[in-house]
Amino acid sequence: MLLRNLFLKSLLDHRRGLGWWIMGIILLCAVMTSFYPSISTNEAIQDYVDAFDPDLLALFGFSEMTDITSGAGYLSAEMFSLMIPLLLIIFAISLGASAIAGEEDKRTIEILLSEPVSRQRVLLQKYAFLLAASILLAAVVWISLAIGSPIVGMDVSMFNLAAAVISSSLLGIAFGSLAFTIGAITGNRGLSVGVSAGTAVATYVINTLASIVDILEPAKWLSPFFYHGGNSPILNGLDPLHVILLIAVIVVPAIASYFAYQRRDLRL
Amino acid sequence: MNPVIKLQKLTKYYGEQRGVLDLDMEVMPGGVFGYLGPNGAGKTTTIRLLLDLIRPTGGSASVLCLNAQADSLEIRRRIGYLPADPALYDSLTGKQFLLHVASLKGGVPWSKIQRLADRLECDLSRNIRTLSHGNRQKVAVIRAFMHEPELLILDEPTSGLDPLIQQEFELMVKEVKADGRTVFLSSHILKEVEDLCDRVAIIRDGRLVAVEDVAAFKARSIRSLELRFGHPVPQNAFQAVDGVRNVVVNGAVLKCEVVGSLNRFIKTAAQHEVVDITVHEPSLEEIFLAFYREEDADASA
Repeated sequence: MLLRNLFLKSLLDHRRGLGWWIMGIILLCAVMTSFYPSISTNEAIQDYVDAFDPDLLALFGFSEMTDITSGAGYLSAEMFSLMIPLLLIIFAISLGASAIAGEEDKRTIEILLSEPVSRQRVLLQKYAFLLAASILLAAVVWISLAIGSPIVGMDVSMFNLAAAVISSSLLGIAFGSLAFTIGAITGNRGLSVGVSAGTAVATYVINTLASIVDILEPAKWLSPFFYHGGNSPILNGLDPLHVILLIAVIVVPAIASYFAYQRRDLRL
Repeated sequence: MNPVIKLQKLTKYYGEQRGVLDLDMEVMPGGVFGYLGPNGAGKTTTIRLLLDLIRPTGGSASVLCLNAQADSLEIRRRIGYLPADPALYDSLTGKQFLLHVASLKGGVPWSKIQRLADRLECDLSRNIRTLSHGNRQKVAVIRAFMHEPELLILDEPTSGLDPLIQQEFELMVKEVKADGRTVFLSSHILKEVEDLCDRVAIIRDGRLVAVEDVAAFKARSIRSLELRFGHPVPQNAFQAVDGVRNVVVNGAVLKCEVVGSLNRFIKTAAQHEVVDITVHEPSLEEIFLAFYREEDADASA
């Protein structure tokens, strides 16, 4: 039954990997929340953090405003500034790159596209799976933290927590979408992973440098990481403009892949 | 009758590299059409163009009177395709794989799939990853045949099949033909084409060299023979026979080439005591050379 269409087949193919990712995320959330009480009750930690140069802190994703002993501040600094987005990006890039290019790498695309299945349908169903799996993983983050945070006495708005998860999820999907598109344009999985991961690192560095070096400040608009963390959604909720920009970063490559994949020769 | 496959000036370049050049060909419905050529001649390229997996640089192709590009989906619904050296989904079992492709085709009764699996002695419960090359090929053959398509496109179908299964496969091809359906079969093995096909196209270096009936083709085929006699034989007795050439006699051993029918040569040989006879099937290369010689002869005439 799980083999009726390409979406369900993707689910079957990825069921184990997905299971491990979900368990890993739950474990990570459990460990990170369980550390919180030892930090919230220890004022020396905040003094320790404040003693650092703000530029150095920015490199590690702390903003000057962050109160690390508050629940939201803790989650912002420890989870949402880098850890969670990074994991969601890795997940989405590996899934996005294997979606189309993976079939060409393994040469199974010749079987698939000699069936009465259009290239658009292959693209749409595989893209739908990329979205669904990314959203599922983000939901696991939200649920784990929504359950965990009250237990350790974190005072976090569920609404802002959802905002942070949504924003991280969109960031992950943006890079997954890029990987998907490069895979659909070139049929080369390795290239797709490499370029997407490289772009992620480069735009992360741009965003960080923009927050430290005044003259580079406008460059932050080049980085999806700014659209994700610029407004610190766990403290302030979602910024509509940032959300729109993230969605644009997702949609534009997806549309490009739709046209590029129609035209080219398959790599067989 | 309309042709089931029609190529018009079909050309494919991969960048600078030649795929196929100016193919003009028609395959009429019914029967088995052989597409013969050495590896790298452009057989697989032609077939991939028919399936819209790659796009032509020039010219056009139609399959079942449909445009190979614009109507590809409808074409793929109505044909069965066996790729050369197919890559199947390794993580699935044979059964899962065939159920998946059956649902992509819009549903095929399981009983039909099972019957084919039984004929080919294919164990569908095993993971495809664990199957030998020959057993994977069986799964791919079942995929091509299971929905009883109007046209079967088989690219090097018998590679990896053991002789018994190959016989069963040939029977399946003959049944398709008996049904009035069409098979387009590519091969680099002359004997396979001679045994199965009614018509044959020969491709070399991306160009079509000849298209003709297999019977006519056989009539022109060259065999090289080696005969051992009970006593030394005269060379000129054989040189005079029609269709016999390159006669070399070494005592009681005779080597020669015979074009077309062996009848007269055998009658001549039978006047002597024949101890042993060895017939070498002509290689593809020899057949091509024969064609080229003829072309050269035509050109100079």
